[in-house]
Amino acid sequence: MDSVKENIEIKEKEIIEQVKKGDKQAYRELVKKYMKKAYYYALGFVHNEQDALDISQEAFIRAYRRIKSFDPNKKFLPWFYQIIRNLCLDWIKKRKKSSEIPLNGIKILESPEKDREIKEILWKGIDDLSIEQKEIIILRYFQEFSYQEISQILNKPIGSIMSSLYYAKKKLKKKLEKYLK
Amino acid sequence: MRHQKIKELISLYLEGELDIKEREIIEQHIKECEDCKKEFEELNKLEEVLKKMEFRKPSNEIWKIYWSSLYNRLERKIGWILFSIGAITLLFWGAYKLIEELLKDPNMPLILKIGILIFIAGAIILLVSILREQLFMRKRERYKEVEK
Repeated sequence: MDSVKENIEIKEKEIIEQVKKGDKQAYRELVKKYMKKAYYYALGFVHNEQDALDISQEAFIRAYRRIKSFDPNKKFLPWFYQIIRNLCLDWIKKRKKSSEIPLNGIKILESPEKDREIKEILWKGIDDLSIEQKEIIILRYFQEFSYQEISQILNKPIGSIMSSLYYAKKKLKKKLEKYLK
Repeated sequence: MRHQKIKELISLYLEGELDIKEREIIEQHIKECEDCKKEFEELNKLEEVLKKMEFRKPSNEIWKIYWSSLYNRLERKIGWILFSIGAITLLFWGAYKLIEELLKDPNMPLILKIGILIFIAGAIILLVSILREQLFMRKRERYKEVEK
């Protein structure tokens, strides 16, 4: 299992070396590998499909333009997440309050009535969390990253990620109090 | 073990992040402590709801055209950068030529010459200031004012 992971990492390193030389086809491979992750990550912040698509593509464009400064001995995804994260924060800053945004990117409308109500409150609760807590919830529950991976992406110790997530859950639990009893 | 620590571990227990020994400690503790048992039950329900949350999947068409639309945007951006560099070069060259002609023309009133020179100097200062600001903004650490 570890050797499979190692091979994937070596292949990615080779692809990045080619991208650094200006090979757009190599970059295509990298984009294809991470486009869904980028899109869903942005969707967690912006809540609508068109903006998530725009932001994710803009992040790939910026990553391509800055790829020469990327250290190939490091992992691409944490570096890329910094770029997309900044774009999402820019977007939030422009809109001031992200909770004013319609929830059309989240699968709530198809849920049965009570489920829908709970999910709606939960999503609004997630939206009210701090940027970091929200990010951890998105990475952990919507993108199913391990603590190890989140720690690499956010460049923070695992213990601090675990603790932030617990306090985020505590806040969410409070919002959903009447449904959890 | 303090209750607060147990409560944090309950969250990890429900995520399946604890080893057998830690799991046993939690299981034993919630048998004896009503408060932590309540926390366990509520976090368990929250965990279930969180796991049910998902993003709406976009149409497959989006993924099919993702690269081509990204490539077009990339190409257009490069085009705009080259266009801007070219425009700025031409603008400076034009300004240089204009100043040269102005100074050579003996028929043009002095006040008009001064006015045009001030106008050109102002335009150049504005342009340089905008470019400098853009470069500075890129280098600066952003979002330090945003709550993290």
